[in-house]
Amino acid sequence: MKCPACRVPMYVVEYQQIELDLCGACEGVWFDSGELALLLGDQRPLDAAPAPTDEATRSCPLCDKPMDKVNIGPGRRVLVDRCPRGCGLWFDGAEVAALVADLDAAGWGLPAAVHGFLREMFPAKGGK
Amino acid sequence: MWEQIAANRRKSILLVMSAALLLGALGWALGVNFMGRNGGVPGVMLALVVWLVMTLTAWYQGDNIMLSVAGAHRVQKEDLPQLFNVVEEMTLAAGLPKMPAVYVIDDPAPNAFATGRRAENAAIAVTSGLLKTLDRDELQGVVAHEMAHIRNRDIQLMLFAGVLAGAIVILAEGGLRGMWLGGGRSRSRRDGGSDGSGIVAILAVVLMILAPILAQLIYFAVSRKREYLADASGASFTRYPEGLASALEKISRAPQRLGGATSATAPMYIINPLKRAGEMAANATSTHPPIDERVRILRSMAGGGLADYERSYREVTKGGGVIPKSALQGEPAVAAAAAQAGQPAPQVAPAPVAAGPAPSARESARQVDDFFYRKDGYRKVDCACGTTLRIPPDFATPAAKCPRCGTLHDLR
Repeated sequence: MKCPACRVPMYVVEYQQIELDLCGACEGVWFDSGELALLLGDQRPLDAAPAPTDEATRSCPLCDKPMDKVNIGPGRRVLVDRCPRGCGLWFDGAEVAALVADLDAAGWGLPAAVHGFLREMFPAKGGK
Repeated sequence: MWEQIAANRRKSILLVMSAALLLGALGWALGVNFMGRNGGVPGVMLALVVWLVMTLTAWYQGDNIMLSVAGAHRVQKEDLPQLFNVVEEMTLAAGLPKMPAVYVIDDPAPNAFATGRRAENAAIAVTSGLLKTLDRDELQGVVAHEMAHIRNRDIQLMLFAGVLAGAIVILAEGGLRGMWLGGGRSRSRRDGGSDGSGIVAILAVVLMILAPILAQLIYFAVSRKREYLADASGASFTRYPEGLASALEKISRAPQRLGGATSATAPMYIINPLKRAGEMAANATSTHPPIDERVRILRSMAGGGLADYERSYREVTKGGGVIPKSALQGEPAVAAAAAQAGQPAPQVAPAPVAAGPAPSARESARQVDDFFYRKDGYRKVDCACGTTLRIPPDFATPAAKCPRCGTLHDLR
């Protein structure tokens, strides 16, 4: 699978039996919808209407459809790309850390295990 | 059960005959249209040759073609033990002479199909999305449904029906194209047009347009009925209709669309891969009955037997039955049989689960992914912090970073 931003092959990281696709060049992360289902059980927290933005449109790494830009997170401040066909979510390099910081500030109703997984996988410290 | 198969065979013969008549008529029309008065017989011969070649190809290679078009890969027991256990159990429950070969398709859209020319050399294919989405009871329901297609000889019937429909479509399309290019008698009128070739041409065009539609409708009608029968037999193999009901719901709600499916292969899948949730309304062009109806029938079953399905089918659809009477006589409903024997009706319970704890959804997702990583030549790197990195063979960077601990793993 190729990075939707850099178009180079991505590698896979598995932790707690959840797999994510990472881009070695831009550090963006692909959350496959199957993995989101395994992680969240329920994807309703990710429901959001596409937001207007100037950011360049990216294509879904799986089905190649142009992805929607949606604001997610407790403050709806994290702008991610979502496949219109439901293949998954794309986070640019800093966006997962931003989401985790947002989650630390306000709970957003995610199960503790999910929050913990994200915080452990993407520590929001400056050492990135 | 055996009666049901005999009924299938009678229907197969009827179907083959009616579609063959259609094919013959089309061949005659094509012949007369392109070769004149005496072209009828050669036209029919040509149609029969096209059909024969396609049928022989499908008979000897149909399953392989189907599997390769779908992008299916053969797996062994050590690759996906859970799937294999379920297939083994359902082979016994269905009373098949031999366990079908097991294939996996690397596609996030959950779906499944069975193929093959007879029960002895059948194959069953599931997508990786199916294995990731369904729990064990649901997977068992889907596998039982596919086993029922094998056991009821649907795979054979669908192969023939598909080839016949395909031959008619190819001939009709070829004929129409030929006419567009001006090859038809109606345009050239070398016989002066006094031999009624104008009428023949019109008839031929009508037939060329109608025949493929009719052929597809026959194909789809057969396919729809097979789905109900496979649901009924599948439920009787597991004695747990809820497993299949819940699986059908999950599959139909999944957002992804299956790659590698065409309108010719669509009727083979457990759920029409070309339609998404919300587009599932049933009509004459549907390859499958509506999902919510299939689910409601399964959920209204009082027991796990064929008669229970038949009763539930009549209640839900308010229509005639779906299972041949002779098949029902051989197998009383579980609830009814128990009542006759003066015992309380047994609870509908899942079929016995193989020894050992069933792996969780995450574990079975990793099993199927690991299979494809191995097949695709991914390199496995275990990070000391507890993560596992998998590097694709075409990875361009000389190092990969663990996002958790920041360790840079040298890949050279």
